[in-house]
Amino acid sequence: MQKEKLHNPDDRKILDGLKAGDESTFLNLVRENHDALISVARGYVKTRESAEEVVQETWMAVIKGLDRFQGRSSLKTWMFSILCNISKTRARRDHRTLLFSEAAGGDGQNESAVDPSRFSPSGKWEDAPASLEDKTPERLVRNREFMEVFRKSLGDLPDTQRMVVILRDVQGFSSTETCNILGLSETNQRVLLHRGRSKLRGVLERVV
Amino acid sequence: MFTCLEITENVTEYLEGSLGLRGRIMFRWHLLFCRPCRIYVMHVRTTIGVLGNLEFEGPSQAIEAELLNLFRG
Repeated sequence: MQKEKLHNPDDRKILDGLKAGDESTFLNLVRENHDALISVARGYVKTRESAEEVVQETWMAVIKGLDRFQGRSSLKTWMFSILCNISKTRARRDHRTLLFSEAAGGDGQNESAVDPSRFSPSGKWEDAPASLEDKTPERLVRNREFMEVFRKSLGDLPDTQRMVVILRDVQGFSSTETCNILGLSETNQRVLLHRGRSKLRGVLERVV
Repeated sequence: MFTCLEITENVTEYLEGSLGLRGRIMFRWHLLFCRPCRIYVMHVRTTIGVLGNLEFEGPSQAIEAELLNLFRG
C-alpha cells in the first residue's frame, strides 16, 4: 500500500506504531502531550474537570481519526488542532468565548516587559539585571524551589499568553504552527509570546 | 538607536527574526556596548531554555489506564 507523504517525517514511526496498536507508542505520546493539552484546553473551558473531558475527547478523536490523518501537518499540530476545535465547541455550549484579539491588548495589568521605573527618563538601565552566572536552564530545572515558583507562574499567566508560551516554548511548535492551531495572527502571537516570556523572565530574576 | 528599555520591548521580535535587517543590526549594535542588556537577553534565553526543559507530569495513573482502554478499543 502506498504510504501518505508526511509533513513531518519523524511522525512515521509514531504513526506506524499507533496503527499497529503499539501501547508504548501511545503512552509516550500521551505522556509527552497530556499536560500541554490540558493547559491549552483550560484557556477555553471553565474548569479543570471540563478540560480533562475535552482532552479525553481529543484522544478519542485522535485514535478514531488515525486512518484519516493525511500528514499535511505534523501529528502534533493535528492533535492540538483537534483539541482546539473540541474546546471551542464546548466553550460555545458553556457560553464562554476566548478572544485573542482582545486578549493581546492586555489583561488590564501593566504590560511592560520590565517595570519602567528601572530605567532613566532616557531609557537607560538604572536598576540593571544581575548576571545569572552559571545558572543554565539545565541546572535551574533541577532546582526544586525555583521550579515550583516557575511552574506556578506559568500556570498563572493570562490564558492566551500561557497557551502561546506552552505551544511555542514548551511543546516546540513554530510560530506558524501555533498561529494555525489557535487561529491567531502572527502579530498577536508574537505580542502574547513576548508578554508571557517577559513575565516569566521577571520570575527568574526575582527567584534566582 | 535602541534604548535599553526598547531592547527589553523588542527582544522577542529580535529572537523571532522579525526585526528586519536594519533592526537586527541596531539591536546587536546596542548589545555590543551594553552589558546589562546582554544579561537581559541571556535572562530571556534562559527562560526559554527552562520552558523547553520542563518535565511533564503526565496524566494520573487512573487517567492513563482509561486512555489505554480507549486505545485498545
